[in-house]
Amino acid sequence: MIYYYGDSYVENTRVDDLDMEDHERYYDLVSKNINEDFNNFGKAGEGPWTTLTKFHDHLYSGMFNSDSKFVIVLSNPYRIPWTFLESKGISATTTYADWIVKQDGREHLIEGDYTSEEFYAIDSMYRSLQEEINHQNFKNITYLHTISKANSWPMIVFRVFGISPDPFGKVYDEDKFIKPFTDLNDILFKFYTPPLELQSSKEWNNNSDRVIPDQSTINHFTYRNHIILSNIITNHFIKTNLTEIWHERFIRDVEKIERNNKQLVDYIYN
Amino acid sequence: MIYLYGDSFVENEPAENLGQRDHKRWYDYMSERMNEENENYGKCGEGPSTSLSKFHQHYEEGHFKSDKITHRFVFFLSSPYRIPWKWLEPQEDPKYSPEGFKSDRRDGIGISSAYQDWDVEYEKINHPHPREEPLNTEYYYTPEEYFTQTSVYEALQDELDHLNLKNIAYLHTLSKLNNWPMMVFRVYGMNPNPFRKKYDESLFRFERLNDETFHFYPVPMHDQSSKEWVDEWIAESGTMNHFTHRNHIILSNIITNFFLQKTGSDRLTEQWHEHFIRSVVNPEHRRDHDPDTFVDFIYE
Repeated sequence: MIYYYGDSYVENTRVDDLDMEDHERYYDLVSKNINEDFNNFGKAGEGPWTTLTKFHDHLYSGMFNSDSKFVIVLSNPYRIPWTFLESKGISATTTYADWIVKQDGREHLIEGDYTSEEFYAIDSMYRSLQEEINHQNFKNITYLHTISKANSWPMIVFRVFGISPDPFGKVYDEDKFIKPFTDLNDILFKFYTPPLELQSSKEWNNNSDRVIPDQSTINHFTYRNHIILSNIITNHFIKTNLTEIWHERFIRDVEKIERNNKQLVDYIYN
Repeated sequence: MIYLYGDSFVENEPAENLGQRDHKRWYDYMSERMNEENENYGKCGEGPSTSLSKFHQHYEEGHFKSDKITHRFVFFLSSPYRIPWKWLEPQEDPKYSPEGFKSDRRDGIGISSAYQDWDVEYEKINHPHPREEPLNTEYYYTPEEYFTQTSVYEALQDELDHLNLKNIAYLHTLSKLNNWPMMVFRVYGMNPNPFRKKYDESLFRFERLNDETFHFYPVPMHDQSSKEWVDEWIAESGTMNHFTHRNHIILSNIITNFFLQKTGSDRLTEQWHEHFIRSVVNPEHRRDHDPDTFVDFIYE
């Protein structure tokens, strides 16, 4: 069984939610390639704290066995699962975005409804644990590596974002920090270093400012790159040699199309 | 050079602060035996987030760059619930120091005091004792500050409970990548957490990471320190680095054995002295600032 954890890069999102035509996802393709079922615990908007909490819950419940394999996508550690927001239906991503716009003095863009105590807690936490949060995913990678080794579990770990700059403007030497972690890679464990968000922004032509004009693609990738992502995972798990070269700079624009009496998002390719 | 990071198990605190007769500490013995100096960055009350922040700062500043010397490390990872809140800094405004609290906030609050106070308040509200008078917090906290602590602890409970496992794995990797001999201790185990959750620690036997370069010592140091007492209950925590002299020697032996890879008859004893303190006399001398009066322990 292959277990998937992570955010919107992982969740088996209903295609209706995205107004897209459905296609096989990378997790479907991996399962086909290696003839093994999967269990997808991905959830759009969640941060690595929540991802690892789910993983721990499953670990303690004895869900895994010696045949388990893992794909873990670590998202932004500034996405905090505040319990006080559960009843309000505000996501961790929205809260983080709201905090950012408040820092920038664009308070009119705040989406959520927060009490002053709640905003104080959010701000206080980010400021007090800035360093801890910035290093969170490094720790997660080494921790998952240790767990993979200790249990002989094949595991591949992706990250969604880079570390630099952090929301306070602190800049890290990405190469100096990240490169050594690839030394952990071996037959069981692989840390895939390029941030997936950067890779999905490269699907767009002339995308010099790295802003993705439309987020409707399933798991932030078009079908051809679902195949590439499935190849990377398959290669790690069963040591095949499928191409890992991403398709880049091929979406020129986005439009709405009418199909089966539905308005769908479609992309215009080069 | 041996770099030391951690909390009160590490800080080179003056003996008079503790009302103690001074004696050599485990880091003095370690340096003496290894003929190697140490830099001690330990600070009473700090948590692992602060210890690791200091380490990262030194790392990023290139403090460990020189290839002319061996860089060795000893970490004591304390409670992850000790969070370095920005608002613990000294507060001159009298609204932060109302009447009725043992200490005021003009000198700031220690990281561990803030956590202890939160625990007292949380227990008072959520698990009130039917017969005992509730404890009082040492400092006053604004409603926002108390709300922040509770919210963060509740939201990140699972993360905080596993943080030291992550720290161990992370330090292990840095030790390997840089070929740094490193020894890591933890002050507390995972159980019980402040929300009374219990974990199966046997799922995480991180001592299997141990080899010639890296060593994780799994016994929590707080537990070892309490075993100095006959009934394993620490009646007075004023010993230096929470150990009496005889166990400073044992702790230095454990570290020296690892760093010098001592084997066979060269190996120093690692057998802790246990259950030998019966009680304490004159505990008030711990805080009387008189260098000629001491706290005394009564030994078996």
